[in-house]
Amino acid sequence: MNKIVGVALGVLAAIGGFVDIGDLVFSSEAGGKFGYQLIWAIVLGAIGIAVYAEMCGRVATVTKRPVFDVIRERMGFEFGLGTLIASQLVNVMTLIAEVGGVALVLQLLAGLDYRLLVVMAVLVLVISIWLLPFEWIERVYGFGGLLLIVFAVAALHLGPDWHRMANGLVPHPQGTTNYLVLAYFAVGLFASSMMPYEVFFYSSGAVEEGWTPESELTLNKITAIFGFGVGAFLSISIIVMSAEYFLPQGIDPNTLGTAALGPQAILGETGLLLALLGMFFAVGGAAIDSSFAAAYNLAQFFGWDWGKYRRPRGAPRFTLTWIVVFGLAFLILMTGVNPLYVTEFAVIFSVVAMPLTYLPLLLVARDKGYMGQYANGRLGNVLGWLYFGIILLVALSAVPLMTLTNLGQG
Amino acid sequence: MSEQRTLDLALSILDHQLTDDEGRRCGRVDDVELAGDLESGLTVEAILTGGTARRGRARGGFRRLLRYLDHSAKVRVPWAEIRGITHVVKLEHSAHELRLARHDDRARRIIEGIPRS
Amino acid sequence: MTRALAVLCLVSLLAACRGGSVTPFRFQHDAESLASISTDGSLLAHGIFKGETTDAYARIHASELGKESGQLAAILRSAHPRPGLRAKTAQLVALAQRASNLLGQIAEAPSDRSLAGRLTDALEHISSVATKLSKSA
Repeated sequence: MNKIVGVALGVLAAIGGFVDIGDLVFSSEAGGKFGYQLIWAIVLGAIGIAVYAEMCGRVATVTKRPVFDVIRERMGFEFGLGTLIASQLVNVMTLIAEVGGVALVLQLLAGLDYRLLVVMAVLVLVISIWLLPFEWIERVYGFGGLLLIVFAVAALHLGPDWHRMANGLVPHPQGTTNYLVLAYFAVGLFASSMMPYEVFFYSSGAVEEGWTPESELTLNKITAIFGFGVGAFLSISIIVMSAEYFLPQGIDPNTLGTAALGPQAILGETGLLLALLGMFFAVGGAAIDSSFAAAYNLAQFFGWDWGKYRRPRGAPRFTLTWIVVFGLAFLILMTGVNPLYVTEFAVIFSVVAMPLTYLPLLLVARDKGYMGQYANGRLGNVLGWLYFGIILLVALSAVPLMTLTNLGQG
Repeated sequence: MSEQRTLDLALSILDHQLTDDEGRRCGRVDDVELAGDLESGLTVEAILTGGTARRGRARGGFRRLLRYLDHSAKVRVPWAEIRGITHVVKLEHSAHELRLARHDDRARRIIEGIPRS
Repeated sequence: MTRALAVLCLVSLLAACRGGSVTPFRFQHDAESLASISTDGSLLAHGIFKGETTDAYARIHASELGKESGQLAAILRSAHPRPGLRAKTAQLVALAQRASNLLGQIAEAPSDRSLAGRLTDALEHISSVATKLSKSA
């Protein structure tokens, strides 16, 4: 019974943790600009992250090594260093976007000055990590993120066009002529589902929790498939709500305030507050995950002690790293940079760094020398290589699309 | 390490995690020190971690970047200090005794200044 | 020194040409943006009128939209419309400025339901004129 509860808690936390500021921004705008046309991009990304998360959980369980460990050992020092630099740049950009997003949500909730709320956001997040045991951080932010289900309720209330939604599962333009902008948003939605910090965080957790092949591989599969897969349901809800509410009225929901207007209009003040609180927890949880991913990467590459369950002094360089990256995010946000712009850059540049993360993972997961009987089966290999191909294609097109479409503005 | 077996240095040791006698992570194997020659045979004398052992693994711009960011000193761990090799390289003594804990100690002193650390 | 001066000149030139040229494509895009901002503002005002928002949210969101609309007006004002678009661009500037002013009023009185009620229609009107302008480009 305990095991079932544990699995359920893990899956729920993963669902709530799936949506971050990148998903919010890209899903809202995609629905407002293109209706249901890009649902397939979220589904494609969700399957991709489920495939690779399952692989990285399995690698961590069998080899007792997290992803960055594997990257350096399997691919060598220089490749590992290159991946470290690229990943750290993306992690820091992601953290800036997430912390800025938390400050924007706090501003919509409290109405105070933005820069003061950046200070508050950093303090709330750092103090959460410092004082709360990690299981509680996961539960608070994961379950809090589930409040975003209000977007699904609002979408259902509006009466979605199920036929169009089914059509949206198949990639094809429907009545749009701006193919480049459509492609940009497809890339953004796919990329925000497959952000590398998710696998760094997930695999480190598996190692630290001492997962064993005999007992946790099934949990790993369930969490990866249901957690990330069903988490995509929240992103799709945001697209549907945007498609039904904003698109017919010609509104481009390119801010968090506008995105929250949907639930407010359908469900009143309660809808508004649930949407804002859901955003706070989802984006806040993602900020914590990405700060830890930055600390994990550095610690694992150089062989320092690390661990989210350790007391801060128990893994001092790991602790200092996540504090320093929060400090860096704080300083950059205080210059007045718009976190929503940073979000788009973080998501797009994460795609460019993705091949460096996912290739070593795939090579190890299919290597019987490392994995023995737990190496990828035929389906795992087919999906792994297929997705790697997609990731390469997306990585090559992301920056040109961002430039040509002026960050999706046309 | 007392058991005799054949090891592939590149696959089984290089870049592996080092852990001390208490299971604490304390660096990575950045290089190995060999003695002898190709004719009479090479033996592994020690593993090297940090400092020039690490910086020397990179070339060009990466090396310059590491020189700028990485100010650690190279530490030599004699081969006799190795207790066992699995997915990590386990050492006989503590990180402190092997001079592998200096940077952690420095970082810990900063962290300990913060309440509830 | 010479390089620094060249960069400074380039930056100054770019700043002076901030508005750029208003082509039919750009005009349509800007008019659609104004329509989006105004509709957004109108829905917000309607929410305030019905008492279904919080003061903090109303103030911040109205302020955000007002700033966006004001920036749009400022950029268009400094832009160089193609012949045939001069009058429409001037109209769009006036509309954007008016939207910015109205949203500013909401931001300053986010709990004033009767003000919000009056401004709902005014913002909706701006949106519908902006939409017509976007289709006429």
